[in-house]
Amino acid sequence: MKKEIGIAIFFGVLLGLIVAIVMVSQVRKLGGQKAGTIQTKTSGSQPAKNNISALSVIEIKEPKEKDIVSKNSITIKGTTQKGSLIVMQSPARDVAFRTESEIFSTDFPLALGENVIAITAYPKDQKSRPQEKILTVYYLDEQ
Amino acid sequence: MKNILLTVFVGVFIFTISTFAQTTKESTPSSTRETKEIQEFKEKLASKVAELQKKNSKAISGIITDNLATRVGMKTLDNVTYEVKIDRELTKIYEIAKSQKKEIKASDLKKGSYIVVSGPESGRVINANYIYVDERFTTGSGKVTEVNSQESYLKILSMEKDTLILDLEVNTRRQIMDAKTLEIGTVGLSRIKEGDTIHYVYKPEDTGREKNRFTAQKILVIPQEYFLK
Repeated sequence: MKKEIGIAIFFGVLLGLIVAIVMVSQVRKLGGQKAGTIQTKTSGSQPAKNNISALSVIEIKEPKEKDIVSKNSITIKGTTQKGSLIVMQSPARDVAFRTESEIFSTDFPLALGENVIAITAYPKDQKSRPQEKILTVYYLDEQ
Repeated sequence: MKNILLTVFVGVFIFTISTFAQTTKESTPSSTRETKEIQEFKEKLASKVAELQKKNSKAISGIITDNLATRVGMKTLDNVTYEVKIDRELTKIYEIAKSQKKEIKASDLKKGSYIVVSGPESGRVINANYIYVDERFTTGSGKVTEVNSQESYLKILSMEKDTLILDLEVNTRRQIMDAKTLEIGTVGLSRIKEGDTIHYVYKPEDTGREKNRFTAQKILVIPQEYFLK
């Protein structure tokens, strides 16, 4: 009787250990795989952001059309031909400047609500036609 | 006898699993790292969910077509119709005037008003978190084709080749860019010439005159001298 109980305890401990080891190793493996997937996705999206396409007269890189912001100003970034005159106009502000390189960046104030900003590039080479982009940004004070 | 043995076996089996798993989890350095990884994974998951919720929540503007207290019909400038659902407890409604917002009621939303709605959208239905009654402005640019000082208006050929008449009133902000310094200053109608480039902002409201005639909110003139250099 005692011998049989001892055998039952031995096999119970043995099987319990085997199952526990398998469970722990599986959970560890699963956790590692999930974390790895997120890392890959995050790093994979980075290069696309810096990819500047071939220059047309003007390209707006930032902000995106119909972006919602919670600040009363934004930084407008884009690309155009070097030496172009950039004119930005909205009901809130007018800005005019000449670009010193192909990339431009300027702060622009926003009014509460919808902001329709006309951004026009007049190329230095006057054989190229001016090009206008309309950018809509929402400054919403959601509190 | 068999029952006793089976009970002992199962009891020891379960006890061993739980004890071993618990000990492994708490005591070894690898389990601490694992817990940290799980925590990081949870945080990343939560941030992704928040990002997706933010992504799903967007702002759409348009004109109110009807108002049924808990539901507002809206048509965008691209002629897309939306149903805006208003939750009496959750939806906040504001009117924007001079960059200040004032809370109003759903019943204050009038047909024809221009609104900006923010909230999650699905299948042309927006569950509004916020509704803002806003002013609608149109911006554009073109060439001045006629300056009428007597009636104080400018005729403009827009970049899209449309002819536009802009009335300059007392409140119209009139500006010009200096051709050399690019600085922006004020300008009178007498300094504006045919052939100048002009940027303008106006409210597309019916003035009761020609269909293409509006009151300018502001103008910015780029003198033709800038392009003659």
